[in-house]
Amino acid sequence: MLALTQTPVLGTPAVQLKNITKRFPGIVANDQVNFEVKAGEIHALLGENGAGKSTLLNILAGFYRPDEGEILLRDEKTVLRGPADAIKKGVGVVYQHFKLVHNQTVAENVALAMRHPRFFLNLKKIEQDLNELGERHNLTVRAGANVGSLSVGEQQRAEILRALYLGATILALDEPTANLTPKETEGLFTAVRNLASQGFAIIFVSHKLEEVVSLASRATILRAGKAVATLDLKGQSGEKEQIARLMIGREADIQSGLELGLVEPPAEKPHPENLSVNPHRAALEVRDLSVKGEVLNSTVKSISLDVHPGEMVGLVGVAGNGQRELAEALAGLRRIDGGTVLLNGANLTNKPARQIHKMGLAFVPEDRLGVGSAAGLNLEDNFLLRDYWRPEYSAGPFLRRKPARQALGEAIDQYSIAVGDPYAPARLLSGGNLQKLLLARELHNQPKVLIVANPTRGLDINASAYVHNKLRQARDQGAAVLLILEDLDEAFLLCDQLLVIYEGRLMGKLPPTRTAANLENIGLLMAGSSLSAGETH
Amino acid sequence: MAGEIDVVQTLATTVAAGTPVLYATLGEILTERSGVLNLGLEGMMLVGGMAGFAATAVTGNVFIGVLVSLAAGAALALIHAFFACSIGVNQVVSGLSLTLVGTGIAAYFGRSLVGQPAADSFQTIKIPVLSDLPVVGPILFSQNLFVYFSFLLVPALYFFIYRTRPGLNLRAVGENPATADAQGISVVGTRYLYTMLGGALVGMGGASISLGSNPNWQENITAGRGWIAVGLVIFALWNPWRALVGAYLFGGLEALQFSLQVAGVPISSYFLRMLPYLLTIAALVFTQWRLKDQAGRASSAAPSGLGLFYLRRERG
Repeated sequence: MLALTQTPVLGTPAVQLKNITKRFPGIVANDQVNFEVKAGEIHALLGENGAGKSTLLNILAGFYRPDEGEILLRDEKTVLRGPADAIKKGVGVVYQHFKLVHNQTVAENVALAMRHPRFFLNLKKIEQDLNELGERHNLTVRAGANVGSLSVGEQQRAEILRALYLGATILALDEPTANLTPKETEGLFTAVRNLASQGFAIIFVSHKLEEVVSLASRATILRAGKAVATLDLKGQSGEKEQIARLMIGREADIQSGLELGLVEPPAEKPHPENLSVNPHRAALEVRDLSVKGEVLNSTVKSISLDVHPGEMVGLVGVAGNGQRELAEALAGLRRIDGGTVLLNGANLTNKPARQIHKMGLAFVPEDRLGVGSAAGLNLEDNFLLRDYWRPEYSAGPFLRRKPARQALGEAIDQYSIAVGDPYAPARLLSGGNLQKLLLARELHNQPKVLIVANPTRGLDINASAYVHNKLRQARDQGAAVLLILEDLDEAFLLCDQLLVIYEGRLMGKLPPTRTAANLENIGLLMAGSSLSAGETH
Repeated sequence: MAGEIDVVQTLATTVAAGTPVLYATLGEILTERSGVLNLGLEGMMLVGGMAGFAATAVTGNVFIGVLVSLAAGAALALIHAFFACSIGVNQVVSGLSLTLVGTGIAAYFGRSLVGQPAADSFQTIKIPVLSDLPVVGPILFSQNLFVYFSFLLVPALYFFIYRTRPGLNLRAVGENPATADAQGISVVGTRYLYTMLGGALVGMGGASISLGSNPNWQENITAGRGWIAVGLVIFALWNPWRALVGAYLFGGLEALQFSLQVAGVPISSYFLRMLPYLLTIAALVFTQWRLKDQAGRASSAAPSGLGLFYLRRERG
C-alpha cells in the first residue's frame, strides 16, 4: 500500500468529470459540470459559497452519486460506489473540517480506512510507515500521538498522509489554508508543489485568489452550479480580476473588490471626530482575564486588552486558541476564573448575560444557529430573544406581539433581510440573512461594545460586504468593536489594530498593514514565537 | 448479632451475583461503543431469561436454552436498532419502550412457568486443582459455566475493542460516525451488528439468572439489574475491565445484604435489599464527580456520537 500502484505519467488526465449534474430538493447543485485534472498539475476549483464546490468534491469522494454525467479516472470510466470505493481507486479528499477521530492516534485513524489485515492491527508498522512517508513528502506528523493533541496543521498533514498511505494519486484539498498560520500555509504549499511534480493530481479548492494564482496552474470557476470557465494561469496581471469577474458574474466593483482582496483597503481609515464618549477611556477594559478552556490549549491565561469607542480591534489567531472562551466569557456565557472586565468603568465580571447586555455589550457568536439563535423558533421570536422582557414587548407575563412585529418589520426593511415568511423557523434562513437578523437584534439598542466572531464565515461576497459595512457603521457611531477573526485578509480589511492570540495568551499588538514584514510578524506570533522587544509596540 | 458472616462464602456469592449484571453491562458497552444508547436492558434481560428458561423446559437441554436466550436478546435489540439507526427515533424513547415491551412479553409468556424449577441448569463445576486453593478456590473456581465464560469474555472484549480492526471500526463509528463513513465503514451496518451482539449478551445475562444463579422462574426475576447495568456502563467508562469491578461491587453488596439477613441482623430486609442499588448509584455519582473535578466539566469517556442518529448529510 505504501508505494504508488503505478506512477502516473505527467500531463495525462487523472480525473475527468463529464457533464455532472446533481440535484437536491429545490436546487441544482451541479449543472452539467465539466472538470478535468491532469497528473502533475495543481488545479484550483473556485467559486462562492453555494456555487457547488462541495457537491463536486463529495461526488469525487464517492459520497454522492451524480444524477447525470460520468466520471473517468485515469481515462477509465468509473462508477464510485461509495467512499471506500473512491479510496480504493486512488482518490483522497481532505475536507476543511477534518475527518479524524480525536481520541484515537494518527495511526489508528489511518488503519480505519484500511481493509487488510482483516482482524489484528499492527499499529507499530503503520506508525513507522507514516513517519517514513511523512519525511519523504515533507509532511511530518507524530503518528503515535492522539489526534486531539495535534495542532490544526499537524492534523491536516495527518489527513494528507492518510490519503497518500492509502494509495491516493488524486488529492483534493478543501479550503486547506483556512485555519493555518502563514508559516504553515507556506509549508503546505511546498509539500503540495512537490507532490504535483511527482505526478500527483492536486485539486485545490479555495476562495482566496491570491493563493490560487500563486499555487495553481489552472483554475475552474463554478458559479451557481455551473462550471463557467477553466483558465490557464500563467502569473500574468489581471488574472485575479478575471477570476473574480467569473466568480461573481459581473465586474467587481470596489466593494466586492475589497472583499476579494483585489483592491487594497485605504491605508488611513476614516475616524469619527466628535465622539460623545471620552475616547481616551476605553469602553471595554479587560484585565488579567482567565477562563478555563474547552479544549487543549484554549484556556485563556491572564489576557488584558482595551477597546476604545470608535475603534475596531481584531483578535486574530488559529481557531481553538482561546478565542471562543474569551468571547463567551465577556458576553457572560462562561465563568470567568480570574481578572476583571469593565464596560465604561462598570464591572461586569461574571454578571449574568442579560445584565451584561443591558449594560451595553452585544455579542454575535460564530455559531449563528447554535448559540446565536434558536433554530426552531421563528424570526420574530429570535428577534425578541434579547429584549422580550423589556416593557415595550411584554405586559406582565404576556408578550406584546404587535410592537415586536413592528420592530422586526423595521429591521427586515433596514437590513434588507430576504425573508419569505417571518414565521418560518430560523434554521431555514441562509447564512447571510441569519447574520443580518442577528446584527439587527444586537445593534438594536446601540451597544457600547460589540463583539463579533468570524462575522462572514460561510457568507457570499454580497452578504460579506453588507455585514462589513454594518460593522464599520457601528464603529463609526461610537461603538467599541472587538472582532474575533481567523481570516487575516478580513482582519486587514476591517480593523484599526490587531491583537494576536496563541494558546490563550496575547502575543502582541500589530498594525493592520499588509506589508511583508508585518505579515511575517503576525505569522510568527500566531505560531507562538515572540518578537524581539523592538518590534512590538 | 445472631450469627457470623462467612467471608469466603460471601465473596463466592459476590462473583455469582455479579455475573448477570456483568453480562448486561458488557453487552451495553458493545452497543454504546457503536453510538447506540439502548435503555431496554431490563426488558431484554427478562425476555432472554424467560426464553432461555422456556427453551430449556421444552428441550431439557440448558445449552439450547442459552442459545435461545442469546437469540431472544438479539431479536429484541434488532427492533431497537431499526428504530434508532434506520428511522432515527429518539433512542431514549425507543429504549424505554423496549423495557416495557420486554417486561410485558416475559410476564405474559412466563406466566405458566412461574414457580417451576429449571429443567436443566448450569451447575457448579469445581475446577480440579484450582478449586482446592485456599480462599481463591471456592471464590473463583467453584462456580458455574456462566461465571467461567465471563472470566474469558472480559479480557476478550477488551482486546477486541482496543486491539483489533473491527474494534477500531466500532470505536470510530461511536466516536465520529461522519469520519467512519468517509473512510468507507458502514455506520448503519456496524450499529445494527453491535446493537444485536450487545442485546444477545444482555439476553444471556438474563439466562444466567434463570438457568444459573437462581434456576427457577418468577416474574420480574431480574429485579432492576438491567437498570443497574445502564449505570455501570457509565461507571465503567465503557471499559470491560472496569465493568467487571462495577458488577462485582454490586454483586458484593448483594452478597453482603444476603449474609446480613442470614446472620439475623435486626435491620428491615426491605432496607437491606435496597442497599446494593443505592450504593451502586452512589459509586456511579462519586466516579462522575471525580471526573468532573479533573476536567473542570462533566466530562466522561462516553463515545461522542452516543445516542445521535447519523444520516449522511445530503446537501453539500
